[in-house]
Amino acid sequence: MNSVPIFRYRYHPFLTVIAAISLILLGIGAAYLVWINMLRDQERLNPSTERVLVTTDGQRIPLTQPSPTVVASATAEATLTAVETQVTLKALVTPTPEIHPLPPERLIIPRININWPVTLADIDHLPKFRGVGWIFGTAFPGTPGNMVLTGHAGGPYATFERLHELQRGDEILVQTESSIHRYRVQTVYETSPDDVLVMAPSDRMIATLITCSGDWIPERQMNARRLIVVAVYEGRQ
Amino acid sequence: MRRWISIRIVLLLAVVFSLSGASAQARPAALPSTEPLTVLVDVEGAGRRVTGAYVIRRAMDSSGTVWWSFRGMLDGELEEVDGMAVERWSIDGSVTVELTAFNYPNFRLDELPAQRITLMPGWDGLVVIAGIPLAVKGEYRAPGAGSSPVIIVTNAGRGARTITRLPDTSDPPVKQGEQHQ
Repeated sequence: MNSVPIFRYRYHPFLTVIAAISLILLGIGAAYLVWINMLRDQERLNPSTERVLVTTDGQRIPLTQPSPTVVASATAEATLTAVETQVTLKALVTPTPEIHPLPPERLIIPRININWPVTLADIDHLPKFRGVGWIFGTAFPGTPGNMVLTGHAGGPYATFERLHELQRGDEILVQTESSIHRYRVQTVYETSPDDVLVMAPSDRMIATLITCSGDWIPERQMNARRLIVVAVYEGRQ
Repeated sequence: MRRWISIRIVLLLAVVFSLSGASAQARPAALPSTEPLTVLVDVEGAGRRVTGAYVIRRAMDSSGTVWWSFRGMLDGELEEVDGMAVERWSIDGSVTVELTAFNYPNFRLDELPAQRITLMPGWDGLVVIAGIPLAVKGEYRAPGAGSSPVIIVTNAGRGARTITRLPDTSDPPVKQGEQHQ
């Protein structure tokens, strides 16, 4: 009794090649989906869009600012400490946060003749032109939080070479597409390069200006100190 | 040539998020009501790095017109580009953004590898552009439907960047060993 074969394989070169290509494409597609899902999971656990300050004692502070859409009900001066209120605020206006956050476009400090363009920058991607960097992840002008601006103190890209001349009470103007935001200098001091708390988020509306200072250390290829100017928001024009 | 590649990256991002700085003269005399959106970008690709901010104004009427401007850095150099785009939202939640015009010297629209990109629903904070996976923080929805006021875009898969030092502004000017301040 002869058995009837259910399936008999016959070699067809063309079909075999097509099948191989299909399998390879399926494998690539599957690998792509696995890769995308791994990236997505990784982003949920450790978002690449975040910046984290790490202090010398190991403390980790997310560089997340208060929501820019929050409408502050309290006036900014209500949050000032006793020392801060010594600052002479010529116009005690109620600082109204920017309704829609817009990036800074120019930094103007009349007393030391500063008027430079501002662009978004990162700690390791600073301007290579005469301009001021607005550090990624810090607050928008006129919104609650700490807006960090940085510029070179010397060399061909120098913008903050006279920053050390600022004094308490000096006016700092930050221009956006639609407004000019006014800040008033509160403190000027020097600190070490690893004092990252300078950039920490704040519930207040402040601007922190950073540049290099101190002696040049050849072996580390950097200056020994950082000059810090902290200014408090007053309002917009 | 490398500069052109960078500009292509900037413009491709503009296609996706309808990004960059709309010049006032490019707008029609009677402006429709617009919804602003700011997109912060810090992306590396093709050996270049783009860090900057797009300011987008999206028409609230049914035209889907978008005016955009970009102001930022390509490898540390200042760049400013502006232009227009059109966004079309489908019932299934997908959006197609088409770049229709931009102002950049010696660069034409048809030199872009892609002028139109479609984002499908469920992208869930991750998009892939020209083979580069990008992490996106923020909601991008139809105009008036509650987009985040700020959207942040960076390379995906790198995790949160840690900052252990204040910005080193002595980098280019005093590398030669000179001293200042």
